[in-house]
Amino acid sequence: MPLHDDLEQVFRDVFADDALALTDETTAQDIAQWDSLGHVNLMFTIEERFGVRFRGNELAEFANVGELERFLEEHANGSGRA
Amino acid sequence: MKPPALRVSPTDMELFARASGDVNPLHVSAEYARRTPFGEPVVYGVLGALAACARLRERPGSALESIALEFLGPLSAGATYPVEAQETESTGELHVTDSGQLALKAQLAFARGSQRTLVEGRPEAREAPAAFDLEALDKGLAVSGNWAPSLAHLRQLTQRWELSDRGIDELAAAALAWTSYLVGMELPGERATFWKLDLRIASRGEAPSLPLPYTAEVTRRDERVGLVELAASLGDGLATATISAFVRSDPPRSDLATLAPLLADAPDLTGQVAVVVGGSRGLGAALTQALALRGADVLLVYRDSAAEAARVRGSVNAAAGTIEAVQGDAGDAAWCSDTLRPLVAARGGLDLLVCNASPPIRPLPLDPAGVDRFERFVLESLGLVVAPVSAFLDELDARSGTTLILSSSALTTLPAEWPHYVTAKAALEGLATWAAAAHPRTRFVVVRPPKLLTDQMNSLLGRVGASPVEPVAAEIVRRLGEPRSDSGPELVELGA
Repeated sequence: MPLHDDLEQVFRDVFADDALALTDETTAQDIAQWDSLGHVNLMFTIEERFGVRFRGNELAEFANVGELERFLEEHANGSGRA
Repeated sequence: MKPPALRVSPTDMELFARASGDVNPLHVSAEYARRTPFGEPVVYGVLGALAACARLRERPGSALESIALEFLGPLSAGATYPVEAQETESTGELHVTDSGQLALKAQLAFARGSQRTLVEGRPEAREAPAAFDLEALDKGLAVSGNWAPSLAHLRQLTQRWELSDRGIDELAAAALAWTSYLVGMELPGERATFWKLDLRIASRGEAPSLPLPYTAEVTRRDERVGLVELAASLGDGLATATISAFVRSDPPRSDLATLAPLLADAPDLTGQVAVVVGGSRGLGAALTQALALRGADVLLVYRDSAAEAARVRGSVNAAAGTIEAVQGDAGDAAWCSDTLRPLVAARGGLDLLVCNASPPIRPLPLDPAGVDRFERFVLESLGLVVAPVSAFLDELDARSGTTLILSSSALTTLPAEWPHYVTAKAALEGLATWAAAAHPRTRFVVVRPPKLLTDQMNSLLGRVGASPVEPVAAEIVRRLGEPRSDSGPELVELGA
């Protein structure tokens, strides 16, 4: 499954919204449930599913989902990040 | 008959505080809660869950075996929230929503078994919460002690919601109350925000006598998000709990040492009289300090935050100007006229009115269930500006003074969960437009600051991209020294 679809599924699971669609420009402001708790769930779920570990609050500092996808393309499944 | 929805009254809050011994200030102190991102006291999560359980069906011969709770959004005492229940023979699931958003989720499992009551004993709980910060909560850190609920108070709650008929016996209700006590008073204590609970009640054993011994240990800490996980046990395994709780960081405070060097280009305000409404915390505190540093005599108006107001007043002892803290509700027109105006008159008039106060902003999606709260928020926001502006228009006209109205860059960024805030700020800008035309002698300045690192924004996501208050306050005061424009209110956009 392409990374985009995989990530979209994570978002749908975490935010309990099967209709949720991600674009490169999506940000926390676009998803009502993406509050601080949703953010922690999202962070832990992405780490588990993609085998990455975010540094600090890095996930919140990505400008949008496009930037997050580029990060995951580089680092997913242990390719490059301890 | 089952209640149509969940409502926790202020009396229920008091009963639960006494029943559990959990007097964490987030739940019992308006002044404390104002300095957290919640803005106002929050209903105990466990109490909200107990109230929601009144929606469960009756289960004769059943006893609670396990309950998993997720506290996803704050509930307010006195407000009403819809509860949806889905049940099977042996399970129940409850969803409490707030304006369409899930605020509390409970999953319960029941087993056949007799109900257990507790044997009366003297309540045992500490008086003030421990206050671990995140750094102190190393994995392996353990606490232990004895705890006993006040059974009389616990029974008032369980009887009111007929919980024992629904399979939640006295032992289960007490174990739930204990988790609230543990998180709010012991580990992590004062800074805790309870997030998740997984509680199992042992099926064995007779009615235990009080107090009950307990232990709790930190099993995980995530510094990145300020989270700890605990493993805890009550009554030698009578109840076992896995708990996730956030540990709040210190509220940000405007710092004089940071502020002073930024004011080099700011005008000399010696001899000028200023009123800052909402001057005890956040940008208002930094503005109050900046004005005093530049020589103004400032009346700092605050409603709840007495300690913070005193801190701001005490911070500028060596400043050129003065600060006097005045407690009152600036949204009350009579208070503005009867209390605040004489204080201004005693200083000979008014040169600057700063309208910075706002009600606490909680996320509020545009939803039919949230219309009342939307309207209340907008009205209260408006009142905090309309009342002081109307009270002081004559004084400001007389000295060709300035009214500074704090709007927000949210008018351009349009945060998804803040339609009420955007609406309120747009209304304030409308007022400024009208007043600038009707009162040309007074200068009207509308400021749209960027997202600021204030108490309100001191959350995991809130802090991201938030600017410190000092440079923004210094820039606003510097702009006061620039020549005024001739037409309409001046719009100062400081948003990033």
